[in-house]
Amino acid sequence: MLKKVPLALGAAFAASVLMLTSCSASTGEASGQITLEFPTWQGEDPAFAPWWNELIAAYEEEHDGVSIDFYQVPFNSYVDQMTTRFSASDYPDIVQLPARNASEFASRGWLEPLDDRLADTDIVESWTPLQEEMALEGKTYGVLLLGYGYTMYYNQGLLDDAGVKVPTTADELVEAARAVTDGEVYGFGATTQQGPDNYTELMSFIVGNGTTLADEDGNFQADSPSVVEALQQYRDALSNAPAGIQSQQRNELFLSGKIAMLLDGPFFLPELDSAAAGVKENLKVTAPPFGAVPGGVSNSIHMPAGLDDAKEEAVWDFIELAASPEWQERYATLTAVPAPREGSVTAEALTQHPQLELFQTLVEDAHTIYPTDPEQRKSFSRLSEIVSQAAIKLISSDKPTSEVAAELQQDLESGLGS
Amino acid sequence: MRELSKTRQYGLLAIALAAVAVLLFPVYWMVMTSIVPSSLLLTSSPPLVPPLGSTSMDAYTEVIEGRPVLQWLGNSALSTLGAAVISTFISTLGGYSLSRFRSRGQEAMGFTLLFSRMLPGTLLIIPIFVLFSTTGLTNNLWSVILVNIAATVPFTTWLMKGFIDSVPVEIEQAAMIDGCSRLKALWHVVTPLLLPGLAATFTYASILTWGDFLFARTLMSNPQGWTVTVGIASFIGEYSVDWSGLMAVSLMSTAPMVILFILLEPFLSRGMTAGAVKG
Amino acid sequence: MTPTTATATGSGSGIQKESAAKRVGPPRFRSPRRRRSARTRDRLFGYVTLGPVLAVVGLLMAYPFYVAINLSLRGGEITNLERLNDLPLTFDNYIFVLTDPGLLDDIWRSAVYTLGVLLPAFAIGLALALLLNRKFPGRRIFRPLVLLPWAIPGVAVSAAFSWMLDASYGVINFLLRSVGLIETNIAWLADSDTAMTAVIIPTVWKYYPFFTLVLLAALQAIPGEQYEAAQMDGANSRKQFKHVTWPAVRSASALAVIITGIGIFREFDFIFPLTRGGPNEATQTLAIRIYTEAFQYFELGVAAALGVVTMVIAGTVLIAAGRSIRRESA
Repeated sequence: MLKKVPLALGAAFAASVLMLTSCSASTGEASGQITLEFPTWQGEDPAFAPWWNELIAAYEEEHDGVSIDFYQVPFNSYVDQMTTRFSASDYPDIVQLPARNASEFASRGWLEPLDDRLADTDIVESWTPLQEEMALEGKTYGVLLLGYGYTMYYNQGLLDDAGVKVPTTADELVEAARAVTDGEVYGFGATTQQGPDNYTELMSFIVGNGTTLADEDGNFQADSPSVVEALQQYRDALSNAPAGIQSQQRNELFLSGKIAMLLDGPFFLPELDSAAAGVKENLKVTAPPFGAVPGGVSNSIHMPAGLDDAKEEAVWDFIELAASPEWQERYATLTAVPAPREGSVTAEALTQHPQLELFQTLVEDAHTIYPTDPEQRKSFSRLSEIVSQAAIKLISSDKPTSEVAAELQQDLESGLGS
Repeated sequence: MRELSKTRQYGLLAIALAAVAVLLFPVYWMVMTSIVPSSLLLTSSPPLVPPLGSTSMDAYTEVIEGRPVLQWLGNSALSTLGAAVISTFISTLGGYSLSRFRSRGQEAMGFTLLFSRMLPGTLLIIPIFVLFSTTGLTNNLWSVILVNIAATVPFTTWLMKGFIDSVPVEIEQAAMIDGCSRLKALWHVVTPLLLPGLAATFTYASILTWGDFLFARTLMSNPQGWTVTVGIASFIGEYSVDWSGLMAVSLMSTAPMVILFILLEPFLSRGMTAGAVKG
Repeated sequence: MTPTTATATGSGSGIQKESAAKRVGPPRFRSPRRRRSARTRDRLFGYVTLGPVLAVVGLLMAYPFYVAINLSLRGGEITNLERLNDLPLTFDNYIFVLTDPGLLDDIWRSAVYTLGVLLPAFAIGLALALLLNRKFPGRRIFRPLVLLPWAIPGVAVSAAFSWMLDASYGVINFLLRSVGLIETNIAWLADSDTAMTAVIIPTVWKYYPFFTLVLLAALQAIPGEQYEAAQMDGANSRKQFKHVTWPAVRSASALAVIITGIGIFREFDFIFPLTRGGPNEATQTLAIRIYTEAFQYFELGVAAALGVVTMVIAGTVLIAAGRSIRRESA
């Protein structure tokens, strides 16, 4: 009888192994077939997924024996999932990243430098200068898929009701926001809860005010007069924003006519279609109310370090195809966002999406909101966390702005060295 | 049970109604959110009952037609069933061992089980992923089943031990004298007395596995293997949250556990006590 | 003590004495040789039956535990777990973690969160159990209803609460304003004074049904005669609770509190989606800090050292609690 216990367990184990082998995905490489795994958070995005699907279909058409396993991973857990997979050396073949995380991934040795391959193409010379974000210590680790200048989205109806014009300077923005806010609707929308978006929003004000958080040599200057001024503008604008919300809630409130103005990239444009009836007609987009255009990078495509030769070639072909003029033009047409390649906005795309012209000029003038110093790039999460804590102090405490700035300067210096 | 006067009984009913009204308000609001368009609820004074004519089941039809909800529920059901059945089986054996063989080694192992629950999941997740990735078990429901078994049995083994303690040892000794082996005695004589405990263990393991998000999302990244919790999280997008859809799927995901409660309820309450009292 | 408990403890300690002191196998009619082999077989059976549990837990917890210890002792930049053993051994991570003045704050916040959830969850659970143990019309319908929150997945719970706790349009603010408890909206999740309360509320909501279930079961095991006897002695309801009800539910409560307490101490699913540990670290418990170090800063060594510290704290509390329970039930 005793023997039956291990026996039963053995049987259970055998059964499970059988089931396992029957369910586990076969890579099929034995038959000369290559499958490239490509997880993304845009797999169900109404604007970007169609482009990816078309591109993948075209690629598979051209490449006999290569197929791409393109699938959705929820956005909120995407970077964590990639971090887990890279640290276990079980990485996907095609790597898409939120561009702000790219340097950190590169600094851990997870991404393959692409300089040699890029040298044989026209990508570097015809790309937006924001492609520079892909570089770390003299090497390039990816191709930027979307760089942009910040734009201002506004609700004409709410501004009219308050009797204010569309602002063109930060001070006008604050005034207009104040005039609109009345308890039921808010003048400005921003992320007022702690999160990575605090960084981008606060930095837009700093860069918009014509300054930067660190000078060219990477020395922080958070307590300089121009940065302090920008912090104050941010604080004043956000005092007219709904409290305690994340960026998705901010967007939702804007689309339901509860918020008059917000700053975001061109990729927010397709979202306007989902606005409530009666609100949609009022939603418009214009240049940001700043002297300088803050620029951001959204996402980028990379090759993981350590692929075998055949896969490396296949992945590079995919990146090259995505970067080709034809597919860059298709990108602008399908997504209404200027693709990073110069001249990707065609006349046809312009008739479909007239806003592309504005987006195009803005991205050309854009100044990055991300650090340029390599050490700061490598520790971007820490930098972002420190800045976002300062943002939270500005939003929810009474501390004088100059004091917040001084603390920010101190935290940056002790947290990251300068 | 003491008999109470009618007025006092109705007094208790009133208290119970008030308590349920407060405690279940979040569920009510989830239902509201799933049937009333979000724009109507996004005001500083949202309506507390659905405004006439504004309700629709669109969110439900949309998620059922547009998203593979049934597949998510199926994956969740498979992994939950697997984890609950195996957990119940092995924690009964383990509980029997802890109850009937009390050597020092046994006791030490029993406590080690409890200690294993103390490492935060956020720290375990990377090594666990390494473990499954080297054995090629990622994107395979067995990985989720195994991890959830490991998360459940430290508690349920102790729970079952409590139940087995309450079965007088003489009963099985009698059976063994009659020629039954220990295992047979356990199966034929002891197990039937353990139904409440089995129900409690089964429910606990089911609730834990059904609600697991961290392990499921890490080990089952391919959408074909998503469990319903990963599906729920996918309604939180990069730019927007589909609140009605999220609530609709959340409520749909609650239904199977409620059915389980109702089915096992007769055993459950007795179950939780006996085990817990002596655990 | 209920009668069932008494028999259980009796038989339990009986077998303990038997096997520990004299080690006489149960069947007496066998020859000495067979007795010895039966004893070996018994012991073997004991280990074999515990085997599957140990195997699963050992496989899935021991390896990660080994990796965690290993990680916590490595210096240099950890980028790949497969090459972990190439890195130098060091105590730097522990030195960093233990000398960090923030550690005490993290521990304090973990304690506040754990107790902040445990006490109200237990109180609600007990109150509901006492209520549902009484007879009143429709009682049977209420039982599954009050257990409902336990059935809702944590992801859904935290999403629902972030929606309801919204500072400007959230229904909770609206309700509180309607009944006059607050005058202006509270930014629950964005204000460092209220954020801890705001993450405690959904956690309590998710955990109280477990207490209701356990305590209700314990209450139902109390024979009615005990109350009758107490009533005859002229005990009022407070005295009845103290002398009849509480002793009966005490040990059931203890195990439930410990198991739940461990769970809450390392809870991540409610705090992170709601506040990410903010604002300004107001809700940063040890579990959140470990996540931030590991996934945001990729300081796996520091995260692992923090994990070990967390485990030591939880383990110490568990041992202390276990002792006091054993003393009470003895």
